[in-house]
Amino acid sequence: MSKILQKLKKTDFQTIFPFLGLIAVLIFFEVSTGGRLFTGKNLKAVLNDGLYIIIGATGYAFMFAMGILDFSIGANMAVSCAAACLAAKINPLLAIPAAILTGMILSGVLGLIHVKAHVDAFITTLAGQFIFNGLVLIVLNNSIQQAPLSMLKWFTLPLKLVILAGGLAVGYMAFEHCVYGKTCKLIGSCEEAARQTGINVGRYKMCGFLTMGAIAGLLGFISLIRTGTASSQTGSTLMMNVLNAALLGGLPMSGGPTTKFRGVIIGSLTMAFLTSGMTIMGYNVNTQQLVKGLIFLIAISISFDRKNMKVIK
Amino acid sequence: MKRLTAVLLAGAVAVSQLAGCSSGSQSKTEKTTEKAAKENSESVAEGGTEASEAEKAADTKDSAETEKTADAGDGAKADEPAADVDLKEITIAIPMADTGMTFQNQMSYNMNNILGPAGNATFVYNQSTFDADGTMNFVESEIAAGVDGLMFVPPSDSVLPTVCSLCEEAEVYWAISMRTIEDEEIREMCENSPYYVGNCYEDEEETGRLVGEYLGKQGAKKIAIITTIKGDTTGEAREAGLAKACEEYGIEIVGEARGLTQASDVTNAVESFLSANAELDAVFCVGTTVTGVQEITVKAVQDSGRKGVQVVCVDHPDGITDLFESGTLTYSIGTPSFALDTYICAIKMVNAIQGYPISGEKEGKSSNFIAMAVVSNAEEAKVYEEASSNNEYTFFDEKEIKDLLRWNNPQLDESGLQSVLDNYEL
Repeated sequence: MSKILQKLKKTDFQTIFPFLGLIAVLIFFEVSTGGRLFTGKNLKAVLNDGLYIIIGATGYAFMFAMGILDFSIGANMAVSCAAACLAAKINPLLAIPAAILTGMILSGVLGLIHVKAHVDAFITTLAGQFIFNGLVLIVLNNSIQQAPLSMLKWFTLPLKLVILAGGLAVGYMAFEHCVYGKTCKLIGSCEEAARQTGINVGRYKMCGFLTMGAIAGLLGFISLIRTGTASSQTGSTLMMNVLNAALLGGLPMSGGPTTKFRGVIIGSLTMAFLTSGMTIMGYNVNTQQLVKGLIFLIAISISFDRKNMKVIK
Repeated sequence: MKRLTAVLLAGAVAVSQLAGCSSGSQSKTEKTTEKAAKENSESVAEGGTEASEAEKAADTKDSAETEKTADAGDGAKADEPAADVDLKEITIAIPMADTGMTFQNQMSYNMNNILGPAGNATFVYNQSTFDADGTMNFVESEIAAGVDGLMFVPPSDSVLPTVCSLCEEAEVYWAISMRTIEDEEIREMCENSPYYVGNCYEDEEETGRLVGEYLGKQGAKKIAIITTIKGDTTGEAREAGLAKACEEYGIEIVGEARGLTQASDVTNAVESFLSANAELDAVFCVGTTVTGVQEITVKAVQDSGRKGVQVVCVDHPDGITDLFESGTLTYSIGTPSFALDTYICAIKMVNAIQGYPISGEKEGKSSNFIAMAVVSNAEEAKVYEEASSNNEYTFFDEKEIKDLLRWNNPQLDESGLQSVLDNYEL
């Protein structure tokens, strides 16, 4: 008995909690829904909804690792989607570069303000969110824009799988096996130490912002070919879902070396199946928000590094 | 140990929350289902028929043969399906923002207690957001959840092709309420789908024109509007009608606020209209997603102390009598009940899924519109409010519902349903 207790003491619950959470969610809803969670139709719905979360959380991982919270991703996605829609009216093929470039430019501007003007990322991205929310109304001329109908055929299962697999593969390699990912973690662990070792911290942060922007743009494009619509409401729930997924996956808000890429996958799957399971069970949107909010609080209470966090004390 | 305790405690909270919500949700669903099942089993027992599981799972198209025998059911009780008609247990999903407004309570009351038992249908209400992504999530999630039909209010025509193909692939019936399909290409695409049931809408352009005409006859020359963002089919149609009246009566729109999402935005917009236009005659609430926009607008006008500025609106507000008695709200136009569009769609949906589409051989697709009701003084408002404030107001009683279900009333068709709507009064 004492050996078991000793083993339990040594167990890193911050590491295994996301796994346990995912397993608990899967078992709970598979049983509660009478086996409807893993039907083909539902897995398709989970893939469509989870695609945004997984790809978004992949970009967020690099920001998280550096201890940066980006609140502008949803609004950036909306502007990118609007730009893609306008470009698609000239030529549908222009939609992809238009979306990604727009996302990168917007995030790049925020990155510059953070790096060069030394404005806290929390403040910069929060302000960015408001600015982009206004910008999308201007770009869309305060209207809902419709994409060419031919583009709706692009949203196919193979495309989704390629984006998903490609995004995860590139994200995993860059995060766990490349200098870029390791440096991001080092910056999150101790920015000053990273600077003293000769790392150009500003450049890495800019890379993080540009990556995040490119991903927001990609998601804007995906949204456009999924819904055929660009509106100011596009991406309105993205930020919260991605943040929730990252935290449920055990990514520490304070960044640093404990940030693991597997957390992105686990957290995203947990969020996607949680949402799907609650929908199948007939929870209304308010109950879903209540449950998500509680789980968010629990996850953050467990994973939050209170000693190293600057924004929230 | 401290950490272990914290984890266990947190886990317990999460599990108990999930379990608590689950049981609550389940019990609610079970209650509705049990009630429907109970009434259905009673009616089945009375009718001397009992649908087997295999029959329940049969494709609705196969029930064309059964339709021929439906005549025998004419004159049966509402909860008593006609002899030889096996009604499947069906589930229909409806997006409904849970704001607690009376019209929503009325809608769910009528669906759960009258249409549901009569059509062997269970209604589930779920909605994320009314934007394009939210609509797509709703459609995909409900298809995955295994519903037989779904209906929604599309934010724009452009989401419909994807919805159409998803529903066709999953063999799920769908309908839209409160909207028409403006885009010709998209409408043709939807109407070619065997799973598109149709829509129920209001003549939005005429509505806008009537409000403008009223203002013109009142001598208004300068007005401000609170409306939707451009591209919203409802807002655009109302504005088009208003523009015609403005041209006819020489009315100038001197201010407009679009796409407002919060109550405070409405107040700010009205204050801006008033301060920028000393000769403003009226504020017209054309359309918005802000709950209670009419009340907020009236209050903002009254708080400003400005006299002679009237408020007119589309969609009758809660508390309409008080607003008319205040003298600020002078004209309101809307459906007899805001929920009636959706309820009519639900009736059409139940008919279609059970294999008896309203439009007969045309496999679904029927389009009905609801005539608008005008309230222009406190007396009319009082009459309207007495009916509309009742959460359990019955749109059609059991006898009337029976006549709107084609297995009971094979003579019912699109024009017959339209006739019912044309003569509808609260």
